[in-house]
Amino acid sequence: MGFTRTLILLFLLVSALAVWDMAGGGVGGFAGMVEHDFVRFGGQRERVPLREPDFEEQHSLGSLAGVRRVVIDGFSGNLEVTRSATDELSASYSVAIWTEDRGARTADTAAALARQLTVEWAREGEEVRLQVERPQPLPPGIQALRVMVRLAVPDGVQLEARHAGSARIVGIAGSVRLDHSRGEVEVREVQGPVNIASSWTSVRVESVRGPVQVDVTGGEMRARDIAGSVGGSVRMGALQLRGVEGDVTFSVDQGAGRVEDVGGDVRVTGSFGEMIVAQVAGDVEAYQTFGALKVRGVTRAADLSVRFGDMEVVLQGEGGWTVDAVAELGALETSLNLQREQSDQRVALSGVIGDGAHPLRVRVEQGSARIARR
Amino acid sequence: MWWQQYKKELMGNRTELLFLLGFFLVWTLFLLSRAGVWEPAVVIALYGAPPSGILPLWALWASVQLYRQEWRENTSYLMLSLPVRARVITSAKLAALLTGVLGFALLFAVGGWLLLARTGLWGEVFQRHVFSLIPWEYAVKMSLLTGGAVLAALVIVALVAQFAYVFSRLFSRLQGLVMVWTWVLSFWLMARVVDVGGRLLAFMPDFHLRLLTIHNQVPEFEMVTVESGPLWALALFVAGLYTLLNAVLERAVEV
Repeated sequence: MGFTRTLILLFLLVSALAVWDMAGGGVGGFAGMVEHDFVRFGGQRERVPLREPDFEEQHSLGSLAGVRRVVIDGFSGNLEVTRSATDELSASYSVAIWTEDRGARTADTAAALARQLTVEWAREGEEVRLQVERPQPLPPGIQALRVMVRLAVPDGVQLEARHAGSARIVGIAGSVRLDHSRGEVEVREVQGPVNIASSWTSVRVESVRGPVQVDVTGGEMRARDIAGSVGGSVRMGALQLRGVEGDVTFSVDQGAGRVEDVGGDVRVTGSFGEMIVAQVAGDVEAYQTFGALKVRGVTRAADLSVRFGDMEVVLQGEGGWTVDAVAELGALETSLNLQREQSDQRVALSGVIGDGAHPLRVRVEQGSARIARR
Repeated sequence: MWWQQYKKELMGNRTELLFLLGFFLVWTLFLLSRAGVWEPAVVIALYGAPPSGILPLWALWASVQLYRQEWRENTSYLMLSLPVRARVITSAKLAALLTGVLGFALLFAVGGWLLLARTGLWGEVFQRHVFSLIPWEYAVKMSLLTGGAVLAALVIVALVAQFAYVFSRLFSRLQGLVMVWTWVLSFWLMARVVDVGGRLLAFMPDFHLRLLTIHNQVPEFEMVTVESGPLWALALFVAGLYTLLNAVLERAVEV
């Protein structure tokens, strides 16, 4: 009997704890519990081919001087762009081939296939085009073919590429425009504007001096340490922005977004996911439908709306706000000293916090909002 | 004794199991007859959709049913008075459930292979150049790992459901409500244990996994590191829950 009583007491205790825990986190907290990560991946991911290629060749295309613009058109393979040690543009490429039986005859086929691959410069004044023609389809006995193009570009050269595969652009001083699909994109230590449109991908942008514009469909976009503004969109994927000196203007459709540590203004819209905005030095404008919106560390004006979801607003600092919050078919919670008006379908909070210097506008439609100050 | 108990559980639930397997067999035969008539992708989608929904639901239902029938058919007194440890009974019930799941999975795999072969998709997919690069031992290892993970997930769901049902027998009223709440509570507790336990066990060595990815038509292995702490914490939670289930059955539940 003692064991049963202890069990039931424990059950009641754990129940109380669970209710407190779930209610504290609201709907998002409960959903978070369901979405808990039981498997966490860590560390850097390293890629290696299933086996070493059976045939490999490297070629150099030589150097070109006086180039202002490089265009790579319709290349499918791996692309690596680095800074040139000289004032000249240089390029090299490698071809790797995997064969079925590794016999002498297949080796001949691989060598012939490598010869069919053409990588050439086409120059028009200060602009050069890199033309890559890869043989399609692969002949019998050949399992896979990989082409890797390496470019070294001098400072001030504009880079434009239409490309499928992995791309790594590091340490260049010039504008980057990438129209990309299927693969990973890494853009790091670039001085100049970066413009990327990519699908079914993972885009990482780091340490860039200049405005960044990224549009991703189906994949994730991560950016950090950007000395400029950041704009763009993510559809069916995830966004992570951290450390942006300028303004942020982004939309996330069907995915999660996290924007942190921004020096300028933030303007974000999102749907079907969670959007977190934190530590923004400028004004915040956020609109979320079908999902949670969490805005933490608001120091200036904010205009926040949520439809069919929950909102959390945390004000921070010594400043002041003039609050205008309305919830239609929803709820508003706060421990701040604000005037409350309530009718059947509408709740409104208004009042002044501190010196009331910044407007805080909150709109909720069929959801809830919690306003707090830290 | 365990073997007898296991056979009893299998025989006791054979009607539902045979009905489900029979339905699935008929469904597979019907789709086999549609191969070549309907689009291959439609045939495969129709084949995969029902089991992916039915299997977890059936596992959940069957895991409760294995205990519920003891009370419904008034055999719970016999079960609780048997001169064996509770773990013999609980493990036999879990093993019976797993047998059903494995049988279902085997039938699903064979049916899937037949349909893929009949629709011509098998040859189309596996004769592609890149697939021939994938080592067989890797494919077998990953299939076993994935199958094991699915099976482990089903065991956890079943164990939680069984614990919830047995625990609800401690109450004379609102047993259904207690069962549902215990189910929710168990998953809440599991999430918290994994979270906190994962941090405490962060010193445990990581697992390293080779994941197959195809980049630019070249298959590659991606070496990923999986934190083992949360998985150890999960294993400890499951072991604890199983021990608690046995203790409740042995020391607390009365007819």
